[in-house]
Amino acid sequence: MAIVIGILLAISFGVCIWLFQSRRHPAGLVPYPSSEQQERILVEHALKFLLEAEQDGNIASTEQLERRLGLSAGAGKQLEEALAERGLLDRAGGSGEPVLRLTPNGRDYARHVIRTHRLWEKYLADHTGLDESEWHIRADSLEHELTPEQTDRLAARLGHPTHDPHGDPVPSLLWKETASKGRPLESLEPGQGARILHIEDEPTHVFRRIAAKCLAPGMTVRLISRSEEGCLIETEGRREHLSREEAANVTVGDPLPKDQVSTGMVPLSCLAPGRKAVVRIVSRALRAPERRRFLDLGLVPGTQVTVELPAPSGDPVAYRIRGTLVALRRDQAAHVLVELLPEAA
Amino acid sequence: MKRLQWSTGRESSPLPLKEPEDLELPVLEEVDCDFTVALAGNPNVGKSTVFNLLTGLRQHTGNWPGKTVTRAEGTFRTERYRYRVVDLPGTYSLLANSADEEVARNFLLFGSPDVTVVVLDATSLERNLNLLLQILEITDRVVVVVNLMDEAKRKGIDLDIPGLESDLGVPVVPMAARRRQGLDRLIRVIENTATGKVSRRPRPLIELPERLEKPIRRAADDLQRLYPGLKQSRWIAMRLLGGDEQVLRALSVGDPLLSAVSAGTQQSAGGKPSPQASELDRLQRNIERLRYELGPDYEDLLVEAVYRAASRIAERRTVHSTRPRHEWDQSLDRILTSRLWGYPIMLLLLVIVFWLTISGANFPSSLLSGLLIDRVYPFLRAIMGSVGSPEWLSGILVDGVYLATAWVVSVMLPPMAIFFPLFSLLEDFGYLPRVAFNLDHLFRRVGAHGKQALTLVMGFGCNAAGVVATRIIESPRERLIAIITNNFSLCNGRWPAQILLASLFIGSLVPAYWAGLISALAVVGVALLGILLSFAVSWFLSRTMLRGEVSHFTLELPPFRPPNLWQTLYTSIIDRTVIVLWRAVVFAAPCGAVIWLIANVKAGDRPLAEWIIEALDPFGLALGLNGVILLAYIVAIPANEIVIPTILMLTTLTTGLGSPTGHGVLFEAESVGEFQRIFTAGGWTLLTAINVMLFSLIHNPCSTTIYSIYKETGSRKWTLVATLLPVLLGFLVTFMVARLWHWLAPPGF
Repeated sequence: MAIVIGILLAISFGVCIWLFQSRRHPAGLVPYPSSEQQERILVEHALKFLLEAEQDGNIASTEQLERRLGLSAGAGKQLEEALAERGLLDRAGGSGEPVLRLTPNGRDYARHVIRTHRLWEKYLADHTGLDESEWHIRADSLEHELTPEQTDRLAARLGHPTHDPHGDPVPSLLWKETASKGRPLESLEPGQGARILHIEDEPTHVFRRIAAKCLAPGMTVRLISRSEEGCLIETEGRREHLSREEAANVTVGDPLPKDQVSTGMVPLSCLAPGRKAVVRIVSRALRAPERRRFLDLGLVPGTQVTVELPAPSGDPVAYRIRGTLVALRRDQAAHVLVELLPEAA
Repeated sequence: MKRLQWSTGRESSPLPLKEPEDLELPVLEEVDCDFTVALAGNPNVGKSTVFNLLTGLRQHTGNWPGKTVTRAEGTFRTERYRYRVVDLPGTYSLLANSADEEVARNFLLFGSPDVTVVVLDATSLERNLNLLLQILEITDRVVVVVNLMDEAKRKGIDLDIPGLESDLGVPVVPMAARRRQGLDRLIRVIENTATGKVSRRPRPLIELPERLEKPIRRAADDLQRLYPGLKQSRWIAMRLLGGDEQVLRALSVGDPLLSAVSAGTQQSAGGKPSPQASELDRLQRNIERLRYELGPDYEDLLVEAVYRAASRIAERRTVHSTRPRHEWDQSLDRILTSRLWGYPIMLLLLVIVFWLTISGANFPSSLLSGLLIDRVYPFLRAIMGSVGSPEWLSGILVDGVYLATAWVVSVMLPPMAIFFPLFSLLEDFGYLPRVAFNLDHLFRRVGAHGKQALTLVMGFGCNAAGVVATRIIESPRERLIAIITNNFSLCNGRWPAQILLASLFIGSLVPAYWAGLISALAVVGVALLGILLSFAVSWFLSRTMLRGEVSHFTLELPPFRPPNLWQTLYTSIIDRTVIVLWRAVVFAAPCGAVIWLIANVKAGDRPLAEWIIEALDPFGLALGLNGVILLAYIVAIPANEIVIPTILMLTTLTTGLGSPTGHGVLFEAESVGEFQRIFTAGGWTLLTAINVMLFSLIHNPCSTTIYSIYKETGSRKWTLVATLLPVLLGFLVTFMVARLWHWLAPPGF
């Protein structure tokens, strides 16, 4: 009898936990999409692929479509039929392989899907505590869940962002561009610096490695050296080594003039009590909710900071910022790059 | 060709995509007044003090429409005019990143107050100027109050007020609101500003980098062309380029709101027709293009520029004199957070607070129960008897409702009346944030915030108060963790039961001269177990249910200030003690009625209570408890204080022992021997006592706390989690202890 009760208790406990698993946040992959939903997902993935191909200036073929979406041999043709039926695809005839081209409607639809995807990523980045590595994969599933009206509402809620956390522009009614400009990181000469414009989110495992090195769009990096295995860069007072694969996924802007590439910065967390410094950069690797708090406190570039009081355990440390004593944890202070002021005589 | 089909998105969207609120012009109640005054400022600058000074008792609070942000409004009058004062939520800026900022911004922009009073903290001018400079972009009918001048003087900070006035171009009134200094001048200046007697010389204060200045100026010019009467075109342009949805919508709607704004600035657009749709369209396109070209850095650059301007002004107009006072603060801080002294001091203060509470509460408690239960109760019975009321009515009202409530009050009130003021004194002094500072590393490891240490200790007074206290934690995830785990702090109402059981059952195991110490240690052990559990559950929550919630850490260490003794006592008694007491009474009263009813209403030939106990017994015994205990806990959800009296009452009921006061009437045993007699008759063993002590620690929160949790989280889901998680855990723990016991100990123990 008692054993039965014990088992029942354990089961009910488990059920409760499962019931209340983060339901508020996008659950990610929809476990069992209906067949109608499955078709929609396929259609939308195909549209994205075709738009990408168009913008890259390539001509898409049925084979490539099948390969990219992981379809079997005949399925590609079926998909094209479905797309054409919906007025999304033009199959320009001609001898040999038909050329796949999107209709204007098709392009609009594709842009809608991309827009939804990027807005979801922005939401996940700014309004949740989820890890960077989870944004893309969850957005990939969520992009198929909204109508254009709902997407617009999402955009409104986020303040109509112009770019997603990877640096890609969010297409809108008036802005049709979906690709981000820029050049590969490795195109820089050693010693040159530039701003990171975009970090490619696929393949995911590469993105994760890049994110783990705390690199984010908006940061300034300086190329120190290049080699067969990869390259060495300097950013925000630290050096990182990137493999060729990783470097290939980082897009930067045009090289900046020397004086705009700041060097000689250290993370705030490295300073000893009593030192004064001026904030130069609040790293983009810091998540949005935390950046907003920093803005409230007045911790922005140009602010003078004094290191005043470490806690008994060493973390957090209290800093005097604009007349107020504020405690920051070590991992937060590491994202604030400062320039040391000379010690008072 | 098939029509383009948009399959409808999932109806139950994972994101709370509610309709963006219709832009509501805040509708103020129809009160006759000549001018409306908006009160704005950072949090914690004494804005409410100023508000109270102005309006006195003529104020009321409510909510802003469609939001959970509280709203306070009041009135005051001068010789000639009546004024309505609207207290806006405290915010650091107007960028509308939170509900508070949105409310403040909307009111200032669309509510068109006649005068805006902005309260600044004299000791932290630089940071406060951020909000003021943003407000000055919207309206120039501003009166600046520099509050906490007494604080500034204490810290050796001197401000050049006339210089500040000339920099800002609006009147500046120095005040020390806590001491009512500066009030008359403020009212005079408000009147002069409202009636237009003051000449305002607003000037552009914020210097923007070229990268922002050009697009903002373009957009502002375009706007001005379309809406000539618009005075805030520059600020609106700034917000449009920031993607501000509400302002954008106001623009696309074209008419009502922006015209209202133009009209509100009292420069009627005359007969100018509203802009054409095509012109609006072109404006929208231009703005969209500018936005994409500016990129995601826009907001950062804007805020930096505002802070730069704020720094410049603050630096120019502040004179620091290094007086020893400032260094005294720093030395004290160093001691309080040092490796050597920090923890011992904390521990010492904690012990002192608890000792004062426990020993100090004994006398008033017995006084109160002597009065309410020994005197008033028989008196009430006598009255009921003389009035000729039927037995059942006097039973429900007097034996049930009154007795339970009296019990709760006499047990709950004295400890809280001591604990909370002590706590508030420490808080006022400024010590408590240092505690959070010292302990943060412990809490961080389990995914919580250092301030949880404070709410945890508060929970030892009363869990409901602890839950309300979690407002000091701004980060949503950490706040939820603190709320859900607060129940594991052993609250005041549970101490008597723990002490009683420890001395009866555990103290009796050892020789008499050890008994006191051992039972005390047992109770402390249970309390420590509670703290350990709250860490464990925090860790669990942050890894599972709360993973992915927004989290950020900030901890401000305010300067030390001498606590205002009488004011602290007053506010802590009103705010914390009385309010919690009121809620407790509200819940305890019906509970008392229920207790009496189940003991006296018969189904068949036995009271309801007996039927329920019989049904619960198997489950109870499996947990090492029994049916009586389970029923007592169910019925006494409203208040932990009456669990033991209920158990006693039910035991005598079911064992036919006969209670001294009659059926279904709560009582307290007079002597140790009597307690033991009743418990033995009820079949209690050492295991029962231990499990009751454990269950008392790990069970659902009392109904007052549940209610508080619901009000603080606003979510049914989390309230359910906070209620069910502890009780399920409690079942699990008692079950395992019972199993272990039966396996290890010989029967008959």
